[in-house]
Amino acid sequence: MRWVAGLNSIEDLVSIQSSESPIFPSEILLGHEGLSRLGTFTDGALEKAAKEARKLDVRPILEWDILMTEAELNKSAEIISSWSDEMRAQFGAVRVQDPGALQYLLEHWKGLPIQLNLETGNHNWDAIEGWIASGEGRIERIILSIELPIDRLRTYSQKLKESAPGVSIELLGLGPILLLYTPRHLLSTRASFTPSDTIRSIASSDEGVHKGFRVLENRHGTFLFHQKDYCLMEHAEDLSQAGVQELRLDFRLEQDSAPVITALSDMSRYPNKTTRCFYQANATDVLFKKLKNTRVQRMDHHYVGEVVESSKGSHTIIQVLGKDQTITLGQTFKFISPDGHIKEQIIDSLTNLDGEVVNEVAMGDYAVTPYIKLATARTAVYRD
Amino acid sequence: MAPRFKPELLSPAGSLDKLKASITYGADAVYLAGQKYGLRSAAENFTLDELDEGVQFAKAHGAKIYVVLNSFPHDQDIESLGEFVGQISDLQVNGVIASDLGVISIVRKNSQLPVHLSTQASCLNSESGKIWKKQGVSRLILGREVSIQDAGKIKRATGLEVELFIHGSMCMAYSGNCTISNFTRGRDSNRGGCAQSCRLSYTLESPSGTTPAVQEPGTFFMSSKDLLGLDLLEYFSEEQIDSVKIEGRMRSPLYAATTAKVYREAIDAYDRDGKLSPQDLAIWLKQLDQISHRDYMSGSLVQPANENSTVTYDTKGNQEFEFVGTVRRVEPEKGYVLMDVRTSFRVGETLDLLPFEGDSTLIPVQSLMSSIGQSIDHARVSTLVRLPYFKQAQVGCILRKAAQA
Repeated sequence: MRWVAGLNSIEDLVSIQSSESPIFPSEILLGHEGLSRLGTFTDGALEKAAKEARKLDVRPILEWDILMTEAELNKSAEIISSWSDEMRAQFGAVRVQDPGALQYLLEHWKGLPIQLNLETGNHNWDAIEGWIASGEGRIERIILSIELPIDRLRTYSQKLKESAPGVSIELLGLGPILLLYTPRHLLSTRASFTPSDTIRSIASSDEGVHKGFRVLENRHGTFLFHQKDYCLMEHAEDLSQAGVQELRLDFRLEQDSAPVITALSDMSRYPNKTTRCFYQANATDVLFKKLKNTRVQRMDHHYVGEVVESSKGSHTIIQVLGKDQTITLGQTFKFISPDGHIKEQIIDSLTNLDGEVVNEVAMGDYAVTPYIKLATARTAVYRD
Repeated sequence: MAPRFKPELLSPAGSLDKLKASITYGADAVYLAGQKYGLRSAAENFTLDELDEGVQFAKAHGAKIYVVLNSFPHDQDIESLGEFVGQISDLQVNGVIASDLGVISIVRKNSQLPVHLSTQASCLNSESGKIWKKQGVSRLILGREVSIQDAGKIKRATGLEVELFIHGSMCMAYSGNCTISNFTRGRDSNRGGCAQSCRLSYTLESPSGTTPAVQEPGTFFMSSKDLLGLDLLEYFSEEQIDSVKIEGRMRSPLYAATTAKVYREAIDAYDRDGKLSPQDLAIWLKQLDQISHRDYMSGSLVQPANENSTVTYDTKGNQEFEFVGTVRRVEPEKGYVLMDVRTSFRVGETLDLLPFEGDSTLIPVQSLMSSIGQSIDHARVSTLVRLPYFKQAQVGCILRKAAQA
C-alpha cells in the first residue's frame, strides 16, 4: 500500500517520517489557498513546500479541487499561469474534481499527470471508464468514493487492469468525511469575520443523528463534516489485495495534528471517533420502498382505473384511466387498496354519474357501482 | 432590431395530474421521472403507461417531455437502464436529463434521445461545458451557483443550449455534493433519498479556544431561501438562456399551476412588450407569494448568493391558499361543475378558481351536491362533488381557498 498525505505543513510530514509509525507517505497533497478547498499555501509557500517534499523523497501533488464558477475558473487560471516553469516542474501530478479544471489542464498544462477525484458519485463502471477516457491518456489515478464497498473496488481494479493498466485507485483511508460543500459563507454572518478567515464550528440538531458535525468556512465557502472520521487502517491489507494501491491520510482539519500523527503508530490512541460506513456493503437504497405507497401505482396493462369515491353503504365510483380500458357490466375486477387489501368483485350493477343505467363505461368516464367494501379511495382496479 | 429571445418554460411534473396542470397552465415542457433513476423516490413518478398518457397529452398541447435519469446509480441500478431508455424512446419523449457519465453513455448507446446534463452534475463553467459536450450532451442545466450572465458566456463558449433554474427550492450544497442523508440516515440523497437534513434547526458552537467564536442556538444556517427570478426575465432573454426551469416535482398541482401560469404570462408579456410593467409584476409576485414557499431570494442569478440567503425560521408553510381540487367535468346544460376534492370545504365558504389565463374568480359555495346529485353541505376529501355551474369553469382548472391560519 502506498500512502498519500493531506497535511497542513511540511513539518507534519517530517513528524510522520520521524515517528514510530510504519506508515511513510509517498505523496503529499499541497493545497494552494486559491485552488484547494482546504489549501493554505501562498505561491511562495507552495513552491517551498514542494521543494522540501522532494528533498524528503515525497512526491508533491498540486491539489486543485475547488468547484468553480466562470469567474473562479478564470482566477484559478490566472494563479497557475503566473507560475514559473521551475515552479510548475516541482509537482509530480495535479489533482482535480471540477471537469473544467480537467479541461483546462488538457488544453493549457501539457504533460503533467492528472489524478481525477471521482468521489462525488461515479458509482458504476461505465462512469469511471468514461472519465478515464476523457482524460486523453493523462489520468494516472482515480480517487473513488467511500460509498463503494470493497467488492466493487475489487471489480473495478480488475477491470482497470484490462482497460487502463496505468491507472491506480486511491481511497480515503483515515480522515474527515465531507458531507456538504457549498460556496456560501454560512458562519461568517454569525461571528466577527473577514472573508479570508477560516472559521470553525460544531453543528448539532435535536434530531439524534445530526449531532457534532464539524463545520469549516473559508474563502471557498462552507464545508460540513461527519462527526466521526473515516478509518480503514485495519483493512489496508485487504484493500491492497483488492487492488486499491493508495490510501489517503487527511489531517488538514485538525488544528493540532500531533495527536493524530502519534496515533499512526497506535490507532487506539486516535483522538476522534471513527467509522468505516459502507466498507462492507452499501444499502442506502433499501429504505426507498417505504417512501411511498407502491400499491396505488399502475402496475401493468391490466390496469383499468382507480376508485375516486367510496361512500359507505351507498356506492363506489371508479374512474376508468387505463388505455383502451372499459368497465363492463358482469365482468370481474381485482381491487388493490392503498393499505394492501386485495379483493375480487363482479360488477353486477352499473350507472353513470347521472344515474342512468349503462352496460359499459369507457376511458375517462366514471362508473358508479354499488358500494364495494374495502375499496377505499385510490384503490387500483385491474382487469382480473 | 433583432427579435427578443424567448426561453422555454420548463415545469415540474411529479405525477400525471401535475403534468396536466403544468401544461394546461402554460409550460412549454415538463420534466418527470419514471419509477427509477430519478432523485425523488417519494414522488409518485410515472409508470410507462402513465408516461405514454403524459406524452399524448403533451403532444396534444404542443409541449415537450424530458425524462429525468439524474441519480448517481450504482452498477446494479443500471442493469436494466438500457431497456428503459429504449422504452421511453419508443414513447417519443423529447429528451432525458442525466448527470452520471455512465447513464449518459447508456442512453447514447440505446437511443437517439437528446441528453440534457442535469444540474446534479454541477456544471459551473465553460471549460466544464466543453468536457460534457464531448460526452454528447446537447444542453447544460447549469449549477444554481451560475449567474445569468455567466450562463450566457457558457452558451457562447460551448455552442450548447443552456438551462437555468428560475424558481423554487434550492440545495444548499453544490448539487451532487451533499451526502448528509447517506451517512446519517442510510438514505442515498443522490439516488432519491434526500432526507432534507439541511432544513433542520441546528445549534452552532465553537470548539473551545477557537476564534472567532460562533455561538447560536436554533439556527437554520443550512436552509436556503427559495429562488425567485421572475423580475430578471429581461436578463434571461438578453443572454439567450434556452430554458428556464421551475423546481418542485414534490409540490402540489396548485404550485405547478400557479408557477406555470405566472411565468407563462410574464414570459409572453416580456416577449410582446420588451419589459414587465410594475403593475403586472406586482400581481405576479403576489400570486407567487400565495403558494407554499420559503422566503424568496434571487439566488446567484445576479450576484453569488451569500448573506441573507438562508431562512431565519422554518417558513416552508408560507402560503395564503391551499389546493382544494380540480375541475373534472363541466356540464352547463345539467347545471353543474364536477370537481374532485383534495381539501374539504363547506357550503358558505368561498373558493377561488385559477383560470388558465387571466385573473382568478371567486366562487362562493352557495349550494353543493354529491357526485350522484344529492344535496350536501360538506365536501369531504377524496370525493367528487357538484358545484352549481359557473361559466369560468374549464376542465383541468384548479380550485383553491384561503389557507387555515
